[in-house]
Amino acid sequence: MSGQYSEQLHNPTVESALRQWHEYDGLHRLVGTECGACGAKFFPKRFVCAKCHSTEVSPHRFSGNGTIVNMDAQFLPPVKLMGFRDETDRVLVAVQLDEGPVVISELVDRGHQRPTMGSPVRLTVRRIARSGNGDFRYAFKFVLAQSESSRPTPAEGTVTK
Amino acid sequence: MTSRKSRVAIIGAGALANPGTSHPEMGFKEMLVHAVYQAIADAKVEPAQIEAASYSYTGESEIGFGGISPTLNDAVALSPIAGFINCSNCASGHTAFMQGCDMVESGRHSIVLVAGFDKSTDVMPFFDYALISSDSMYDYNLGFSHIDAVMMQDAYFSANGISREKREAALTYYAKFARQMGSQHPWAHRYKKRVPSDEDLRKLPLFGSFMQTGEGAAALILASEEVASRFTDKPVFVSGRSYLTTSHYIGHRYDPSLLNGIGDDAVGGPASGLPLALACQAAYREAGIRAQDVDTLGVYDQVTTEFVSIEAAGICGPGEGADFILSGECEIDGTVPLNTDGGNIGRGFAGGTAGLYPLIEIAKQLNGTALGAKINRALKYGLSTYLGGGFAHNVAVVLSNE
Repeated sequence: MSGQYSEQLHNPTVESALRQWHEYDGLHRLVGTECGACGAKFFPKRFVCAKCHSTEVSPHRFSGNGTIVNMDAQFLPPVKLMGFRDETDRVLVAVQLDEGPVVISELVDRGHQRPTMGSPVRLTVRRIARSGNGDFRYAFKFVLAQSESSRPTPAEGTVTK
Repeated sequence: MTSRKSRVAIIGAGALANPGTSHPEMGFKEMLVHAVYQAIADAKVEPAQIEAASYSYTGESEIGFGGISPTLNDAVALSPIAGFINCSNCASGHTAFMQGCDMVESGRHSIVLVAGFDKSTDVMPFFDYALISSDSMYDYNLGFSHIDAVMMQDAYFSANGISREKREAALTYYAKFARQMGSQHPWAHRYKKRVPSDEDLRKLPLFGSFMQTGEGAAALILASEEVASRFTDKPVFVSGRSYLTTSHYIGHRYDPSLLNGIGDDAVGGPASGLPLALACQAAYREAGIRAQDVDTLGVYDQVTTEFVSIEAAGICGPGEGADFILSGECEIDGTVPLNTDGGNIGRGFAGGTAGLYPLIEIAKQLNGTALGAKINRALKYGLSTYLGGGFAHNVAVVLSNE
């Protein structure tokens, strides 16, 4: 009988399918913004340039290549609150993309490799915390660039739906 | 550009003791009344003389009340005065204070209540609130929590080449110091509690340099300088203040040029304290003082944020915060006594109102009415800085007794 009930997942945020849809390209394809006036690139996406204040901005798909500029192994209990209980330990990283912006993400598929500051990484897509209704969700993460599981990424600047 | 019609004075203060623990026996209205009416009594004003209020709390998600200022005004029996609400992560108390100062400095109001509370056992625990108190789609949603500010702290030690031995020594020293201060203050959750040994502290996560979160309420009564003299002969004045924001998204900390007016050559990084340093500099300019003039300091203490905050205030140079702590200059008889009520670690931390506690402590040190450890020398200026959202909110307030 107990099998008929879905697993109880604790997720304090108010989940929104529409919000996920608005950010779909950013969360899955690392699409940010490029300013048409000054060429500055941003992630996450924005609607006015933070450098020159132009509103002539357009989507920009980042290459997904970058280097680790900060990292932290996460063992703390809030991981469980956030729905990541099946995935400890996790290595959180700040990655400076080749195009400039720094993004916060997770380093996966490390195997026995020891990532260090400055290690090159590349984009991948993996599961993130499960939704409150039990669905699996996905978003961008990073793998070490020399990792066998790293996948080829699309050409920089292309945006696909 | 600042234009003030009147200088602001603090004429009264009150707070619920023990902000480092939950108060399940009280609802937020009762907690707020406790603090507000203590402040009203301290200021010797009549409730009906209060012309407007500025409140702080963590936000409607934590307690299930939105658009809350009428509810709060009614709870403290001050309707129908104007009531404004501030939700600025951990810095909510400080931003409510800034708004209260605006009300008085503009000349619109003569006596203003600034009050806040945190109630995290009704609907949503504080740590759940903390998870959604940022750019949640790109950090919390991806598994990066507020708690992972530890990443910023590692960056601080790495960027400044601080050895593992010195990290441990500085964190342990501060953890013990904060508990010593808190053990003397009747509002602190560590009041009259034994101060653990270094050996005991080293067994704790982060060597005990981790704040104690809970619930609380605090209140201040502000008045224009002209009106203040009718109520007290020990006013404490707001000499300078600044509130600056940056993105909640931690990745943006690496690019200072995202801030208007900051060049590409500015030093960035999540542990640089740049936005707080800018706020301190602006507050000093307004007060007409320099960092060397600060006699006592209140900062947000949590692992390394006290180091970064001391440096941002210019009390010591970049990367020297740990050395400053280890030198003992932060002690009650040091050159710049720090967090003399115990701070977040020794006093306790109640997010929605946390920033009001250090403002009260500095005001009381400046007018000689400190409830805990007293600074036994002449004081003139105190600086209170506070952070919210991992340096997303940055507030600096210079108080003076002249």
